[in-house]
Amino acid sequence: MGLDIHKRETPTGGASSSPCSRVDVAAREASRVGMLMVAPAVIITAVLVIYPLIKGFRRSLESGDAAIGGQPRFVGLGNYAEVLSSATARDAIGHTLIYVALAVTLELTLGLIIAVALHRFFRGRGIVLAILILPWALPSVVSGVLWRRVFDPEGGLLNSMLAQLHVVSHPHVWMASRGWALVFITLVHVWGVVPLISLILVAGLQSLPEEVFSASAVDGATPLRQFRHITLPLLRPSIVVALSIGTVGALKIFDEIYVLNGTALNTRSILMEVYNTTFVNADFAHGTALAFLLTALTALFAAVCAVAFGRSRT
Amino acid sequence: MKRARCGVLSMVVCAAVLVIAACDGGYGEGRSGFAPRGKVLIEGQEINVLLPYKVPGRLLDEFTRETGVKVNVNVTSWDAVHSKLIVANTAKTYVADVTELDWSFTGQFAAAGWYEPLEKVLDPVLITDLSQADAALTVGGHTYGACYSNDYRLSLYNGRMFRAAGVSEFPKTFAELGPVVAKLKASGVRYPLGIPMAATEGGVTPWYLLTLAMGGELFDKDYKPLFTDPGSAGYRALQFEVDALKNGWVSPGSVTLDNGPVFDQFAAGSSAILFASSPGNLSTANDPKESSIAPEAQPALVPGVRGPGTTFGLPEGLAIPVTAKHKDAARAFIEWWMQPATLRVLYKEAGMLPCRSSVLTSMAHSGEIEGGTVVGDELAHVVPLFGQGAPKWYGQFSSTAQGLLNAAVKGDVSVGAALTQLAAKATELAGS
Amino acid sequence: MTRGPATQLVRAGVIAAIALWSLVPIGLGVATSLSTQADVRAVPARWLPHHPTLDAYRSLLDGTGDSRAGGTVSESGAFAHAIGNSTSITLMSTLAILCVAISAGYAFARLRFPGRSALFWAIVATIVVPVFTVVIALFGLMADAHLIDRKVGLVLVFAGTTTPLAMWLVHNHVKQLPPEPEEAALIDGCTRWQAFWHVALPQMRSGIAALSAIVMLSIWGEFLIPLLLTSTNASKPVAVLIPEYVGKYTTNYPLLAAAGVLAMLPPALVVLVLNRHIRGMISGSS
Repeated sequence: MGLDIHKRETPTGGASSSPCSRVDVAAREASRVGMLMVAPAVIITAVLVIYPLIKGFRRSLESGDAAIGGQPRFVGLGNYAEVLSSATARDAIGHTLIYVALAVTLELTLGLIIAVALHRFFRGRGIVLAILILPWALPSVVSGVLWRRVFDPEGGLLNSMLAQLHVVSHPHVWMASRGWALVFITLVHVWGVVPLISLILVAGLQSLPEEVFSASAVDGATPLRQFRHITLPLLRPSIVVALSIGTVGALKIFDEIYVLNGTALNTRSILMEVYNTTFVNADFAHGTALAFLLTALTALFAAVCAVAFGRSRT
Repeated sequence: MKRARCGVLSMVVCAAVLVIAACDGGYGEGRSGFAPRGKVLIEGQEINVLLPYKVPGRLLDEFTRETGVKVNVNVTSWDAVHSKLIVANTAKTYVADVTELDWSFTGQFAAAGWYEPLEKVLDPVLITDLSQADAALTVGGHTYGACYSNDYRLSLYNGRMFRAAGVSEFPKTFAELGPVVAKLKASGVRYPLGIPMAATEGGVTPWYLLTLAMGGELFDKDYKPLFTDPGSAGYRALQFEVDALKNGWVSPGSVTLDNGPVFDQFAAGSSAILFASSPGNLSTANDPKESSIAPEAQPALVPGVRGPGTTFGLPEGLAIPVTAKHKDAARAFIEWWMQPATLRVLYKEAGMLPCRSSVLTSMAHSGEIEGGTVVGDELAHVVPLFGQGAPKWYGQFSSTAQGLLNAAVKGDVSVGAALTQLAAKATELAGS
Repeated sequence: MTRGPATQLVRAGVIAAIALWSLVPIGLGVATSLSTQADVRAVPARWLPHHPTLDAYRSLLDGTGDSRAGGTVSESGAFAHAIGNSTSITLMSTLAILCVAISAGYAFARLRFPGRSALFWAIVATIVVPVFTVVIALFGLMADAHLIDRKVGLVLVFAGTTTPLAMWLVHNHVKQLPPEPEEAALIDGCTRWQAFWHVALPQMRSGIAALSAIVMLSIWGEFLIPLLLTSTNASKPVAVLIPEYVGKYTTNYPLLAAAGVLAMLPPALVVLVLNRHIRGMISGSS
């Protein structure tokens, strides 16, 4: 797909035989301008991301904690195999998939509701938007301290409220449980990410053409039906973008776990495991290998989203 | 034609990037070795010092006046120091001329050869004076850091709560601890003992302390684990923690609490005894701006089996990475820091307990140290956690211990199973 | 489209929910920032301070009186300087990213040139890469280029790590815009660049506003990369300074909360300003 401007520029419509035809000139100009326009992005990505990435990959192919004395040995995919056979890494992968499923569902639902409410310009929308993004703007270390006060087993806000409502008889240690800890950490993550998802969906709603709505309103469709049958399908590209970003963000979940539960085994995500391996054990080789496995997993999810996007554009 | 050329060009560029990335070798290298002392040599140089604490500016100015060396203290948050040092050293790149070396980094960093041994570099008088504190910063006969913050484990208790419960003295042994806790509970203190048990370094330190206090060690001289046998100190220590939770000696939430929050509870007057605390916490607990129990916090010797228990030191030292650019100036900085006058000011203004035996003893005698005699007396019982030298795999061992011990206190796994798994991991690490 | 009372009510309800959802924890933060340590540590928990005080803000901005090692220490002027650093770094980075990402995103979406597909996917693929994989090599690279502890270094790295995502978003946005206006311009004799600059760009205005907000907020909160690339207060952004308030032994919670509250304000301000540009359908696009 894309823009076929050059096809339209020959009014006679046929293929031209001269090498200096207007079609070729236009195409060459498009080509030249295009390459110049993408050059900065290509260069900056190549130097600052791809180059370190390749070096990182090389490190993941060398023997474990090459940092600790001695010459690094080439072990190929050995590190990857060791990582996959480690129980803690497998648990981390499992936890991460749960985080992703929960987080993305919540984010998209809440994000859509918020975006629909906010995409039209109304007086005071600025203030509401500003309040909306506060969770995202709050530094995670501060957010962590605050949420710890909410979930604190002794005097936390949650336990106090539940006790007052007589839902629980004694204070629960939420972060110690297997299930609840995952749920609450997801909640905190969603709390911080919903602003971004909403913004993306708001931008998406903005770009929908007005005519569609007025036409269907004339036809007598209720707002809800309009939303389901017209808005939602048209919004698919933005939803896919939001879905991709939400998924990638959830796969990389780390900050919330770190501040709420540290390296505890019951809530470790893949990145938390990477952190533990790289920064606590100083084992960059295995850590980087696991990080690349995460990259592969994320790429897989992203590819699925891209296919969905590709289909929705027709 | 042009199109083809551009395509080839972009491919060449990409290929070049790949080749450069794959073949590139190491990074910058530091100058090795130290020159003989002399002011002329280092005058005019500028050094970076990476610490998790701030140093009073006027002290640094003094140093600059004396030696002509300018100092930039790069303050890094406590949690991030280790990460930053690991990244920089793995990349074999300069990060600072003097850096923090916490005892827990020693084994790892020494084995990696990232730091300069200092025992032959620093003034011999200084080395001897620091030897007790530096024991935890020494591996294989080489001392890698000069201790500047003398942290060790000490118990704290709330004097008012003890009086209210009719307890006149802090228990000297574990046998005495039980009745004291019972009396405190009877007087209305719901959870008298404060012990962090989260899956963090702060949550695993009490287990180390309890093992030592109960008269044992973690490993023998060949690094074989000594905590799997039910009669061993390590086993009894973990069992103590599990029982403490079961019997309501510590709050159920302790399994998710780290040092900080457990201290907060003590400072709020919620718990009566902080088992594994530090001299620094004593000052904070008695600061009316920070704590509601001021001035009732008292220091006490960690209880043991037949008398005061063994405790261990967690010193932080100043160390010189091999990638440092100005090693002679770095040495001058460390020696200046260790002057008694400087140490006294640092204690007074920044709360850093000195490590030099001579200075500490004289300060304890002249009453300059808060908690005076007890703080000084505890020193007699301080040993390094690894008398045989911190192993390079301490980090991995500790992080495995964090997860397993936390699971054990939560009841997810039995004490025996947790310790057996931990021993297996330790053996695997020691063997590799 | 009619905006019946039902719609208004539902929207009001959603807005109230947003306010509650955002503000309860943040309200907790504000309350903490107005408390004393004793209030924060009190058992049973004291949510609102008995005597609200601005001490925490004073300590934050003027520096804490004693600098007890192991606890929270705040140097006079350091926080304000960090906010200044964050602001300049974020603005410069966003400008750089917008320039690079918009031109590249547009080009990938509208123009044909050799290697287009491969280059596009190569760049976009890097979005999935977690920063851990590149930190060591990046640190070495920056150190060799003498860009450690310099704001320019941070701007470059942020440009590198954020451009792929920004570019992808621009690309998607442009794909959705009708191509007719640009075609018309080209037929009228405009060059490609002129068509982009005078015709397409104004159409993208609202998308660019949203993108700016997203980019700015991401950079404002970045932690690991600035942690590694900065050493002194000269270039330290606020996201790296605030964790320093968590001491080894104790933390001054009110001060930490005060820092968080103040650090939240510039991004909120940015959104307020950009809001006018993220306009609704009724007021028309561009």
